[in-house]
Amino acid sequence: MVELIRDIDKLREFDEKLWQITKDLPIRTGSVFKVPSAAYHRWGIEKTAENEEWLKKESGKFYVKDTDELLIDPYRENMIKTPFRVWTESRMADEIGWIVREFMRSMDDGEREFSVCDIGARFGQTTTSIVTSLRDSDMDGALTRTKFYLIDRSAPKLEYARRELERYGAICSPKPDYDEDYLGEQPDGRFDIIVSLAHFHHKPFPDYFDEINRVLADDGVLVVGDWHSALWDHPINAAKLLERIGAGGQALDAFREHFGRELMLPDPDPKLDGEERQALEDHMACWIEIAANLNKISRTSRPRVYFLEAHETSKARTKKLEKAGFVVDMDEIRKAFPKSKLENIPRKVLRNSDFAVVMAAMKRRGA
Amino acid sequence: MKVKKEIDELRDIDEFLADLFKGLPMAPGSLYRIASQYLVNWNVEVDGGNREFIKNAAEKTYKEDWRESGGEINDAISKAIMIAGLGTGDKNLNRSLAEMAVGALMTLHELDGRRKLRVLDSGAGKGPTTDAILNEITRYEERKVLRDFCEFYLLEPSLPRVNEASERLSRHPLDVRCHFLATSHEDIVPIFRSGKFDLIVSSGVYHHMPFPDYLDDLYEILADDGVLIIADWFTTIWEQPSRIIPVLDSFGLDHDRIEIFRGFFDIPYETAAIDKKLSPEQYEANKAMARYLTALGDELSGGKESSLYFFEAHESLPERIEKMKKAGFELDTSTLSEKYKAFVRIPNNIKKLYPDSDIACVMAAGKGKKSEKK
Repeated sequence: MVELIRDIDKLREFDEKLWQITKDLPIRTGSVFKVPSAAYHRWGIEKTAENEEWLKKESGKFYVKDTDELLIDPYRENMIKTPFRVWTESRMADEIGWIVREFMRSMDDGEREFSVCDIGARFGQTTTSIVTSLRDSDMDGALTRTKFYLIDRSAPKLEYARRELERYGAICSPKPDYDEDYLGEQPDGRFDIIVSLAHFHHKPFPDYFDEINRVLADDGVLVVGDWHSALWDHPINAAKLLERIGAGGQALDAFREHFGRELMLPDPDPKLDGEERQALEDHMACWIEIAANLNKISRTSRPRVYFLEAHETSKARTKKLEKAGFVVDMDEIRKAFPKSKLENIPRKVLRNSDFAVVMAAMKRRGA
Repeated sequence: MKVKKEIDELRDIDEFLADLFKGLPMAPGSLYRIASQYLVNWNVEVDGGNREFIKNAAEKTYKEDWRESGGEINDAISKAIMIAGLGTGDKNLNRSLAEMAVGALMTLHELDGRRKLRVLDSGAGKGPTTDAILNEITRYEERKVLRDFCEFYLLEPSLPRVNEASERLSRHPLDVRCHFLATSHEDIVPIFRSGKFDLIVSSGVYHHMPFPDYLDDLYEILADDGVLIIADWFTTIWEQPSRIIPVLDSFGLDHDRIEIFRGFFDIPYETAAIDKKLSPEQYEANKAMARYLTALGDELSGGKESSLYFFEAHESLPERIEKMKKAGFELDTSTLSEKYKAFVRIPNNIKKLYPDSDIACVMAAGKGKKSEKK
């Protein structure tokens, strides 16, 4: 039986050692605390009542640290934007636009003023998708009654977003802030609709969704597009990825040693279905491409890119949402929004793969 | 000022421009890349003797352009588009186009449930337009029937792009038949003559066509009850040489050379009379385009001289509509809704992407009578 680490000093030491192992590779592990908290035990970490707050803070701190470089010039992000990523992201944004329009069709009484919050809005791709989707339809009247709140750490990105949204005639309010901080300041039921694209996989702890639930109106909806895979469920997957980006034997051995033989044993029961296995492949392929791109840049000038994140399968995400007070069952959602044509949701935008998925959720009613 | 039409004179103009642009972040390419109807404002007269020369000069550099583009240039372009506030324009044009396209396909399918529907995506690039149509079909159960009746033909001269399109579409959840034609559209007309296609779509392509001949090709290969949907960018920034002076200035062209440019093309200082013909929407479109070009210049400057070409065949929206009508297409909204069955689901066949600007627009046309042309 493996002894899990729970002591904060030891956790810190454990993490620091891990950073060292991959520091010379084109992409690096980064902090181990960024993997889904539900998988911590497989990475040798035990979450306890004493260390949970610390772990939460650490995981957030490293996310911020990792993205700081990208904030200096939003275009450094291009280096980690592979064609596959850009394409699937844009597809998901499209679907969010369409799904939100359909929800609004049921929610609208001809006078309702909508508050829509885009968490992790970046360049405003998701919000413009909603705006144009409304404008191109019989729902264009609702657009003039809708205010879009765009939340992102990067003020320059939001500035691009604002410029474009105003061209479409949308009313928007950019909020350059940390999402947790911003949401924390909002009253209960503040937003009618919350959308987010490719952002929630940075949230290792499930209570993030409690906060989303709190700020959502009682008859509100959450529409999320994200990448899903079980890549971070087990360090053995990360080792496989390191191998496939061409990590030399030394780094690979050190990685395996760091976690120890027992943690590196294959999960006897990974319980992945065909689509989830494909998602794992898709996810690895993304990182391999990024590593190849970064390899082309000289070592001194390439940005530091860390790969450990909190992706999870769409099934795991669904469970998390349900636990946080959301209803994800589409039959139930359709009943609550009778005027909306909500078909083929959750939408998997890649054939036979769980990797890029848009899902919809409403607040559990009468609870 | 004397109008130029001799081929040697035309060559001199391009040489003059190549010289003028030296050290600027973009190369001119060739003046003949602009919409042919505008050449007169640049003191060039197109006639039977020089038409082929002008056409070839444009085509040659457009092909070079397309081959060369990639990597850093694409990054610069996307950043400049973003700065101009047009960042998601391409995508949203495709979306609007897709809504019209699926409307037409559903109607044609309902009119004849056994008809094979052939869709041509002209200038398909990496496949975003077909992709958008497939997405639009996938959203609703009732539309999925189209999968069994539609075949997509993606026409794209660049092989790497064709490969990427094919890779992408093979991952689309809607498993539809796609054929990839790695060639240009003049090559396919003889093969697909006489109304082969029920729907022709094209996004962001024809502002690279200085002459409207392509419209005759499209007319030829479109079915009599078929639909043509074009999404494109429309500005008149290259209509008048005076309109690019602020852009050249932002590129860092010094005062003396601007004066030389002015003298060469006989550009007046007072342009209010010329510009007052612009509608507010055209004016806005030009403003956005100038913002884009300026931003692009900023992005490209400092690096090595870029191979990106400056001149483009943008034209005004009304001019494009007029050209389409001349080629035999019907664009009148009420005629289409009264007499064209395929337009039942397309109540508004001319859709501007931005409310106050002509810059991006999608338009659907039916096949009318070609009488006017004769």
